[in-house]
Amino acid sequence: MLKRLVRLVMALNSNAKASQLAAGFACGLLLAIVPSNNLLWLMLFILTFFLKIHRGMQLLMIALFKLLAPLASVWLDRLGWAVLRLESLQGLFTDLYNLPIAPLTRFNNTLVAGGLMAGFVLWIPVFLLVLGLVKLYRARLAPLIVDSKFVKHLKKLPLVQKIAVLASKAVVVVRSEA
Amino acid sequence: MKRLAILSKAIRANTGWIKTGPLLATAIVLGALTAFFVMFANPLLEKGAEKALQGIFQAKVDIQDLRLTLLGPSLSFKAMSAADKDEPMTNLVELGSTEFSLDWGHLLRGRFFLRTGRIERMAFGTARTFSGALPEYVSPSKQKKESSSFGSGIVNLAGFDVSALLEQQKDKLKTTAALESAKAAREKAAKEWPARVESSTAAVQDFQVSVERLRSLDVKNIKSVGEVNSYLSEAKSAVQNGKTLVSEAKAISGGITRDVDAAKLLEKEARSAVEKDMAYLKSFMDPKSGAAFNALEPVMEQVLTDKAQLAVYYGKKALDLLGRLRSSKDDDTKEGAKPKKPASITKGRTVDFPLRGYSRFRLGECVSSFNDGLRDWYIRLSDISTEPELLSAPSALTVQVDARTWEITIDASADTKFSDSVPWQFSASGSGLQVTLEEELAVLGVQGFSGVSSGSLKGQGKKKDTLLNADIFVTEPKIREASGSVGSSLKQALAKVKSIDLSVAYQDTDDQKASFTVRSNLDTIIGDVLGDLAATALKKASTELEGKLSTRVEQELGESAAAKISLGSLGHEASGNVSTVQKGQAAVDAKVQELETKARSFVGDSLKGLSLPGFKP
Repeated sequence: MLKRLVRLVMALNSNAKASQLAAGFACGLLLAIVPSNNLLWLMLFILTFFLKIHRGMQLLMIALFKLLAPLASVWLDRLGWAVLRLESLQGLFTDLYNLPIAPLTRFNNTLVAGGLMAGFVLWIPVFLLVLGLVKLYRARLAPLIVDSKFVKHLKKLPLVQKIAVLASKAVVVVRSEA
Repeated sequence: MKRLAILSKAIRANTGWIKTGPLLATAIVLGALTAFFVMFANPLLEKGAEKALQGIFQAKVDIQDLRLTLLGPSLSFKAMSAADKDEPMTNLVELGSTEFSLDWGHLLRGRFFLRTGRIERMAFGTARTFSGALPEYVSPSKQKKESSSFGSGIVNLAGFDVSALLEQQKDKLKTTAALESAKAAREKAAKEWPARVESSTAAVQDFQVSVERLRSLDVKNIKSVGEVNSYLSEAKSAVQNGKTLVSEAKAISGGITRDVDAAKLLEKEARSAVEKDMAYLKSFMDPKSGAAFNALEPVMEQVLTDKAQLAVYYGKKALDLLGRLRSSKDDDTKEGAKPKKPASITKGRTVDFPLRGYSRFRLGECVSSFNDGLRDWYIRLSDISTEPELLSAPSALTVQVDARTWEITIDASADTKFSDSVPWQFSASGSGLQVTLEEELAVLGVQGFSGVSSGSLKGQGKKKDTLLNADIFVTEPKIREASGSVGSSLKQALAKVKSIDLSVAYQDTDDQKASFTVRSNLDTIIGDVLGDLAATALKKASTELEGKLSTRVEQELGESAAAKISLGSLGHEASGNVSTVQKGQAAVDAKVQELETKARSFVGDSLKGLSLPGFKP
């Protein structure tokens, strides 16, 4: 976990593409709000292996948002209910419900449908927002933090030095992945 | 060099048709899932199946070693037991090793179609070592059915027990109803009048005191007009009071008379009902009338119910389970379902869409053929589904039991397409069934009846309506021991007849009380044998019965004689009060006249010597 965090911090500060970090964040959010006990989630998860996104960011966001997802379940349930009851989509859903495999995705569950819908709708705004934030961090915040007295003192601490060693190793990995 | 080595590694990874990284990750995820399936899928599926079946049986269900095999595909388990919700220490059904072939079309849609199944062994009503009750499905405590009793009224014609017959038929007699009405009327009157009469008598006594005081007054001793006026006022008040008292006493007297008359009328009705009741009671003493054996219906019902109880019980359970299987669909999709439900917070809600041919659960055919050590069993169950409307045939059950000397075949079907009522029908036939009744026919003076029965039973119904008709033939009827004229005659008669024919009809509708009727040739069989003996014996018994019934009526009426006397004395007291007050009133009226005369004399004396002014026109 510590390694993963270090790698994430390194990625924020390294030359990893900001768009990949933002995509990892948005995918993590999507996978967190869709319940994982169905074929749909598995398919989405496997799909992300084939996309050029930052997987460290994605996994961390899944872990983080999974903890927060129950807070939104009431709204996701309502959204799913509304979508599944849409008159114009009844034919499509009925077809899907009677197709092989499709019912295993549990698309007819309100939390699955609501989570998928919310995840897709939020994907682009979240992507753009995180993209902007990463760029802002790199351009403005990172130099200020690195040059601050607090960070300089912090670097002298044994634990932080140990983390720095880990970070140097992580750099190699990050570069090789890039 | 170090950086070049890293770069060359990256370049190599970026070449070629296939990107190994994502594929490897996918393979790892799928491998992990397969490992999970191999290790945990069966136990999880077993738990899921137990939970689903518990929802349907509403009692504990245990499955041993459930295995889902995707090659095939098939589903099997070593044993399964489902407890009886109403008898938690008993298993409703117990299955041995069972295997079902599954359907890929359903499995790929996350549904179960048990296409064909074979059960090695089945057992019903086996004992459990621990309770199978589930707290969420506690059934209300059952009320034990009161056993029907039947007196020994018709056992012995020579020594006919008239008292027993009277006691047995007491509630159905018109005299009983009339006597009860008369008694109730008397009791009501006896409660209502005493207090009112007592209060009236007390008021009359007070009145008498004031009358006596006025009566003893010597008007000559009165000296002034004021004194006269005072006594006059008292006397007038007494007159008024007397009027009220007379009116109350008359009302009481009239009311008591009316109640006594009403009770007398009811008593008269009770006496006249004796005749009607006699006609009814005599029919019980005539073996040919049929009424005597109609009284045997509760006994026959008990005997037949005991024999058919298990089948009826399982039939009801099966219908109940079929209904529950159908209604087990998630009702979240119903119109008006609230968007916020506790289950939706963590699990969401399932919206079901119309199905086109793939039921959520369906049993195609399940066959069990086994020998339980004594009998050969063949059981076939088919076409059960959570969506019966997708099936072309109704749910059907065939049971065949062959025990060499006897056999039974049952064919039953139920159409669960109709959610509010499940129409069902069944037919059963059997032969060679040994009938043994030890104590059940003791009412006829028969101990140890035996015979071989065969017959057929047909039934149909829906919801709570049930209609059953059975034709049963008992051949080789024998009686081990008989007592009384009916029992002895029956034993004698059965030696000559080939069979006893019974025709049983049972009807239970939602809006009517269940009826059970038995028709048999027993009436004719016994009637023929009894002949003149019955006629003589019954004449004697009839006279005795009439005497007993009349005595009973008089006795019951006699019991209320005390109330009658008390009511009569109350009536007399009320009438006495009327005359007492009226006499008092007369005395007071006389005294009033005396006082008024005295008053006038006082006025005359005061005007003496006064000259009145003259008036001129």
